[in-house]
Amino acid sequence: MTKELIRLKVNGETHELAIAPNKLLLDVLREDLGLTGSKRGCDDSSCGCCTVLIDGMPMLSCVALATSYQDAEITTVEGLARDGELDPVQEAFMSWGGAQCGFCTPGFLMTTHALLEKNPDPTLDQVREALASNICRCTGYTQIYESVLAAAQKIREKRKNEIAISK
Amino acid sequence: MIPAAFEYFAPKNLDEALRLVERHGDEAKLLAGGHSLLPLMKLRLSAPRYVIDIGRIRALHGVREEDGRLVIGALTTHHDVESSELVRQRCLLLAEAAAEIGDVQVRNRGTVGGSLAHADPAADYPAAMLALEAEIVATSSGGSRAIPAGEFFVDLLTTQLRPDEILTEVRVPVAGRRSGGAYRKLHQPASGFALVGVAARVRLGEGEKIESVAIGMTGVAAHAYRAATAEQALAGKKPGAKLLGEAAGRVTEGVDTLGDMHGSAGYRRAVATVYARRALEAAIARAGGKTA
Amino acid sequence: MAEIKWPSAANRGLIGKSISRIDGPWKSSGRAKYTYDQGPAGMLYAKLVTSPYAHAKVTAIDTSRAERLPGVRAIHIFTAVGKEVNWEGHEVVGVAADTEELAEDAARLIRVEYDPQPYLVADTDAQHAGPGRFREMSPRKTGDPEQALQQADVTSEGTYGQPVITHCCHEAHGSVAEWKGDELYVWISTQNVSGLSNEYASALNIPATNVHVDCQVMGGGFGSKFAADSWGVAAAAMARKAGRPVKLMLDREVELLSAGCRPSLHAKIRVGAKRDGTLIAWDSESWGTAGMSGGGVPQLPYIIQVPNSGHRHTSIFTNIGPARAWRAPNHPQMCFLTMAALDDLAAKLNMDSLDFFLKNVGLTGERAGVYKQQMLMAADMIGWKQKWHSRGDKTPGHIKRGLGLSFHTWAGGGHMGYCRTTIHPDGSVEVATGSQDLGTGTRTVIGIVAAETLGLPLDAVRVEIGNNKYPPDGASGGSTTVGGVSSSTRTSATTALNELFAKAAPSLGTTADKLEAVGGQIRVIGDPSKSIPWKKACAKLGTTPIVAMGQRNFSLISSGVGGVQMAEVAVDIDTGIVRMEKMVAVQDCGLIIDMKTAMSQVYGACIMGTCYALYEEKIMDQQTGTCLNPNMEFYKLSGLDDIGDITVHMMTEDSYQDRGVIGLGEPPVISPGAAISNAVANAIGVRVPELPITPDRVLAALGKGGLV
Repeated sequence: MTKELIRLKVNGETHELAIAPNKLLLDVLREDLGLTGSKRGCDDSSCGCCTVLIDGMPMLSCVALATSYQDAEITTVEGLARDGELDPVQEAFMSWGGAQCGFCTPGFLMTTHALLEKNPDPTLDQVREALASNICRCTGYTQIYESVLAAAQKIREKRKNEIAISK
Repeated sequence: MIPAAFEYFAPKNLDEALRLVERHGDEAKLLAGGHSLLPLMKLRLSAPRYVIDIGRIRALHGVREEDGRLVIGALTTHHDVESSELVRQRCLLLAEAAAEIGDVQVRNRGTVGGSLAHADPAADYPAAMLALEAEIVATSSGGSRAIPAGEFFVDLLTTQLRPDEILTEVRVPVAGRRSGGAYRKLHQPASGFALVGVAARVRLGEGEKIESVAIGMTGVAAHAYRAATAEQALAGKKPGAKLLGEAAGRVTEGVDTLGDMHGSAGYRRAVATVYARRALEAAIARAGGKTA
Repeated sequence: MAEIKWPSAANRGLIGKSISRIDGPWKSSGRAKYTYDQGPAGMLYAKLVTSPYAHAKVTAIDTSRAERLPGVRAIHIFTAVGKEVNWEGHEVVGVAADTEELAEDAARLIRVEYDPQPYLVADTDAQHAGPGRFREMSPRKTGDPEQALQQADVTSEGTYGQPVITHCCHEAHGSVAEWKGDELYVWISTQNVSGLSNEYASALNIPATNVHVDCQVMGGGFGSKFAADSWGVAAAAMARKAGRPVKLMLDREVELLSAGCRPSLHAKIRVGAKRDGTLIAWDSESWGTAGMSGGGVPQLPYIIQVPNSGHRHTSIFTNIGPARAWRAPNHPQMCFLTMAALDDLAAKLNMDSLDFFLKNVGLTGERAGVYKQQMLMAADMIGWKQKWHSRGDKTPGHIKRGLGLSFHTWAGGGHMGYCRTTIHPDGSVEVATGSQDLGTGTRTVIGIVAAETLGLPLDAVRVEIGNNKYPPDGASGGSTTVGGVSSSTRTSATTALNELFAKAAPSLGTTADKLEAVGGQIRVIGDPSKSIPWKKACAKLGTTPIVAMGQRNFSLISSGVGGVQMAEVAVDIDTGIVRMEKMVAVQDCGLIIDMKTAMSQVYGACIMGTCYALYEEKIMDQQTGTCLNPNMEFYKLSGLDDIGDITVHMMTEDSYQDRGVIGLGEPPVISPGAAISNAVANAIGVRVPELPITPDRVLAALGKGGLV
C-alpha cells in the first residue's frame, strides 16, 4: 500500500501524516492522531457517532477519505474546549444528563455545537431536525433535548454579556 | 469496513479531471461528497482502481440564474440547495426535495451531481428533476451535452453518463407566473430514503384550469419516472378534490412497483396515491398564490 | 456507632437528590476510553469469517492464502471442519493482522466450504416449523377456562405477536487482549467485570488469578454482554499466538446477526368477562423463538391472575442468532400479549379501558393497591378522562388520536457483591468494587452512598470500579446492580466510619457509638458544638489507613416493583404512520439513590419501548436463510424526532422508599409496547395485532375494518 503525505488541520493544529489514500478520516483521527472521542457506531452512515465538524459543518467521518479534507478545518470533540474551559454544550450535557453510556455523546456534541453556532435560539422542531440522525441507544433523548436547550440559553447569555462588555 | 486500496487523484480543475477520466475511464470512479460511493467501497461492492476526487474543482460549486434557468453546479451540496435563497424563490420544489434527503450530516456533504449520477431508485432528486424537466449536463474532453432528465435515468443505478464524462451541472427551467411545485415524501424510517417520493409541478391557466402538469415519482420502481397517465388525467381540467384523488390513484399505473422489506408493492401503491395527492394539492395551492 | 440502615428522609443530604453523573466530564470531553478506544503498543486487529448459511456443515477451511499475506500474525478456528454452523453470521475463523484493513483483506482470502443443511429462520408456529423443530412446555391451568369462556357474557379472541429484536449496542461486543508473560490483560465491553476470569481461565488453561479484566466505560449492553464469548476468548488466544495485543470488535453486521436475539412471542388468546367487566376466563396458546435454544419461557396472562386460566407454550428452534437476555427478559412480550387481549375485551364490553383495568386490579394480587394508585395518578397526568373516547377517533381528517395503558412488574433486588472502603490518614477516601457502569449511573450511585455515609461532599470520594482487581461484584442484570452496590457500599463505608469513630472518640471525650459524620465533621450526636473536622479525625490514624469490606446487605434492599404507563398516539390513517405523542410513566423502585439517573432510566425505557413498539424487527428471509436488515441503515432505532413528550413520576412516599433499594433498569421498558398498541387500537378502531406497528401493518389492519 502506497502511503502519501497529507496535511490535516485538526483542532487548530496542522499535522503532516503519511497515510494510504483509502484511509477513512475517522480512522486517521483515532489511530494516527489518537483522538478517540469520535466513534464508529453503525459504520453505514446511520448513527452519527463519528460526526466531526468540517469547516464548522457536522459531517460523518466514517464515510470520508482523510485525504479529501486537506484544505479544511476539522474539529473533533477534543477540540471543543477552549483553553481548558469546556464548551457550553459540553457543560450542558454534563449537568442535564445528556450523556448516559456516553458512546454517542461526542457525535451529539458536535451536531449540537454546529446547530447553536448558527442558531442559538432554536425551536423544538429545529432541534429535532438537526439532531434527528444522531442515534442514542440508551435513548436519552429527553435529557439530550434538555441539554441542548440549556446550552442554547447559556450561549445566548454569554453572547449578551460579550456584547455588553464590548459596549 | 475499509475501502480497498486505489490510486488517488485530486484534480484542481475540470480540464485536469477530464483528462483523468479519459485516461482511466472504466477503471475509475469519481468522488464528490462520497455519500453514495464510499459506502459501496466500504462494503467492497465497488473497488475501483482509481478514485478521482473532484471535490476541489471550485467551478462546479454553486447555484446561479442564467437565461431563465437555475444552473446548479454538480458539486453543490444538498445543504446549499435547500438553503439557497435563489432556489427557494425560483424553485421551491427543488429546495424541498434537497431538504428531504438523508439527514443533516449527509446533506452537508452529499452533492447534487453525486446523487444524480448514482441514480439510486429511492433518491429524491431524480423525481424533482423529472417534474422540473431539468437538463443534466455531461462533459467530456470532446465537449458538453445536455441530457433531458426524462432520458437520463435508464435503470437501477444506471444513467446515460458515459465513463469518459463528468456530470458538471444541472439546468432547471424557472417556472413562470401561476406555477407551483412541491415535493412530498414518505421516508424509509431508518435510512431516510424515499419509500415514495412525489414531485409535482403545475401551471394554472385560463379559468383556473391546469395548463400543464408534471409528476416525478421516486422510490416506487427501479428508477424514477414521470406518472404520465396521472398527468393526462389532470391536463386541461379544473382541479378539485375528486379529480386530484382520481389522478393520484393513477401514479403507479403501468409501473412495476417495488416490494421489499420496507414496504410491499401494495403498500407502496397505496401511499404513492396519498403522497401524489398531497404533492398536487400543495403545488396547485402555490400556483394559485396560496401558500401550502 | 452508626447502624447499617439508610438515613431517614430528613437526614438524606445526597441520597434521592438529582445529581449529575460523576463521569460526565470524561464523557463530554471525549476523554472516556471505551474498549473500542484502547490501543496498546503493537496492537493487532482481528476480523472474523462467518457463515453465510443459516445451517451448514463446515467441510473445508483453507487459510493458506491469508497466512501468506505479509502482516498476518494469527489465525483462530472457531468452527472446525466437520462441525456445524447454526445461523448466518456464526463465527468460523478469526484472523489477526497488523492493520484493520489487512485483517479484512486476510479474512476475504480465507476459503471455507460448507455443506448446507435444512434450516428454519421463519418465525412460525409448531405446525409450520415441522417435526424436531419445537418443544412443548408443560401446560398450566387454573380453574376451568373452557367452562368459564362458555359462561362469560362477553368474550374476545385474537392472535397477537411480536418478532425477534436485537440489542444493537452502540459499542459492538469485543475486547482488546494483551499478555504480559502468563498474565492476561483484557479490556472488554462487559456487564460482568468480576465474573469473566473463569471463562478465560478454563478456555486458555491459565489460573483465574492471571486474568485481569478492565471496563471503565461501555457503550451499552442491555443484557447481551455477560460473557467473554467465543470472540473474547479468540482475541486472547490470537494475542498469545502472535505475542502481541489483539483487538477484536464485532462488525455491526456480525453484532446484529450473532450477539443477541430477544425471543419472539405470539399467541392465540381467548378471554371472557361478565357484563360488568369482571374478568373470569383466559386461554392462550403461545409460541416463540430465539435461535436453536428455542424462545423464552413466558407465563400468560401477565400479572393478572384470571380465576380460570389455561396456557400452553411451544418453543420453536430456528437458525437465527442465539437468545440473549434483553432488558426485562420475557416481560415486554408477556405484557403486550396480555394487555392487548384484555384491552380488546374491554372494547367489546364497551368499557373505558381504565375503568376495566381498575375493575380487575384486585386480580393482580399483592400490588393491587400500588397499581390502583399509579393508574389514577397516570390518568390524571395524561388527562385520560378528558381525552378518552371509545374505539375509533371520530374526529374528521386523516389524523386519529388514541389513548392506551399498560402496567408491569419486576423483581429487581440486589446482586451479591463486595465493596471496599479505604479511609486514608490524609482524609482522602476510596471506595472500590468490581462492578461496572453500563451508562446507568452505577459509578455515581456508589459515590453518593459513600459520601452520604461519611458525611462528605461527593467529590471527596474516589470511586473505583470496572476492574476485577477490586472486590468482586455481581453481573449487571435483572436490575440488581444498584441494590447490590448501594448496600455493599453503605455497609463497607459504615464499617470504616465506625473504625474512624473509635479513633476520634477519645478526643471528643465520648465513645464511638455517640458520634456521627455530617458536613465534613465528626461530631457528637445531639451536640454539634463538639466536633472535629474530617481531616483532623483521619490524622489520628497515624500511618495506617482504615480498610473495611462490606457485602450485599438484605436489610438495605428489597424486591418487587410496580409501574403504570399510558400513551397517546396520533395515527395518519392515509399512510399508516404512528407517532408517539405523549407518554406518562409512574414507577416505583423503592429508595432512589440518584433521582437524575433514576429518571433517565425511565425516560430511556419509554423511548426504547417506543422503538420496539413501532420500529424494531430482525427481518428474516426463509428463502435464503438470511437476515435482511443486519445494519443500522435498515434496523431502525428511534431518533430524537420520533419521540413525543414523556412525563415521569417516581413514587417517593415513605411507604415506597422505606422498602430500601430495588433497582430500575428493566421495569419501565416492559409496558410501552402494550400501551402504544392499545393507544393505536383506540385511535383507529381496530387492533394492529403485531409489533412493531409499521405503517403497512396499520393500513392492512384498517383494510379489514375501521374508519376508511
